[in-house]
Amino acid sequence: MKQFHLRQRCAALCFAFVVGTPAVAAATAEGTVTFTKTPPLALVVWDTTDASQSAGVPIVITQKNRVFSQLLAVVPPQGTVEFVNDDDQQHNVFVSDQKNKLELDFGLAQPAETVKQVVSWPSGTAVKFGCKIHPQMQTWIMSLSSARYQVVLVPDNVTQVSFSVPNVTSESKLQVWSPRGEAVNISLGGAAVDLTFKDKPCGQVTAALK
Amino acid sequence: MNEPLQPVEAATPPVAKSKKRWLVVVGVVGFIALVSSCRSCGAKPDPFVTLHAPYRSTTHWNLNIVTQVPQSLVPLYEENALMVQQATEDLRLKPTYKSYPIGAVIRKENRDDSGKVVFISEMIKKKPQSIGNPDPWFYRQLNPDFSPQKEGYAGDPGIATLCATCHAGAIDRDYLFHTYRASAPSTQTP
Repeated sequence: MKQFHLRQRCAALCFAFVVGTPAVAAATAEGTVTFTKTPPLALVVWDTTDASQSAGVPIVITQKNRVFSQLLAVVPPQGTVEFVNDDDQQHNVFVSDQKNKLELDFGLAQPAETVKQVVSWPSGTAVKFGCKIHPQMQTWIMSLSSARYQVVLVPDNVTQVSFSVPNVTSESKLQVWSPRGEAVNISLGGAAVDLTFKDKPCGQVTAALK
Repeated sequence: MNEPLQPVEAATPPVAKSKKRWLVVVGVVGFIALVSSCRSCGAKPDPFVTLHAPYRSTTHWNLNIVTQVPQSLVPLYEENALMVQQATEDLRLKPTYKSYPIGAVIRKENRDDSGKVVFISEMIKKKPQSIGNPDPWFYRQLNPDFSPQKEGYAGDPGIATLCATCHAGAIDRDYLFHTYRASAPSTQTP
């Protein structure tokens, strides 16, 4: 009789454990970012708990018609970025980033010339690359070890954009970053989180698992 | 008895009188213009002002450069430089830069690491030289004692490779890059 009770109790406990433990099933985090100040041209949302992306094939960013081919590119730490001058005029590639203690200047790049840079800055941080000849030529290289991310471009005259990051779980921790804002944690419970730029509020982000 | 004939003063024709008046007017105006231009030459010194501390520029022969402009052009230069800075921070901005008056001189000292001036680069604004090449600047490379090394317009092959090809990238800023540094200007004799 006692043994029966013990077995019953064990079975009940096991059942309770299986039922009570939250499922770690893959889902999609969907959300919106609303800007109350000048919106950035692009932003990136990523799962900070993932580290499945490793350095592989170099990514190529071209300089043509006075723009970099990507406004915001995600590269794994220790990955390589190749900047190709695909224009018919001289360009330059430089970095002056006091926060990440990175000062680079590749000098004058002639047409068809390529320069390479290893992403030496830590995951979750972005570095701005520019052209000294054309100050509005800029690209941000975001170092991310996460393979779960989405880069969102913000069109002109738009103050709200949506994002969708697949394969996240309830244990995932999402962050959002843009060139006009510090990286902030996103609540996956639907609560709005303030975005700030230079210590001033510049918008809000909301997200939920779907 | 006939009185001797007195010479009769010939009547001055009216056309000759008006010519005389015109000559007087032109003379007076010319004199005033000459005096005022001489005064402006002598009375308005426009010393060059150093805009920032030296910094290394890989696009300027990897030397440490110091930008100098005449005092009268400092506000214009700094206004453009500020627009460059703002445009760099907000890529959606489409700034309209101001152009420099004909005769404007922009100077860059190119110094080595010890601070010694290796050579001086100057740009002097002129009228556009040809329709094919709109660059109106006259480029000069000078020795530290201001003796000329090389000079010419963008169309001159030597100047094209030395200066003008790169400066053409700044056509929207009147061919000047407007490197802005916040250091306080200090007056310097040329």
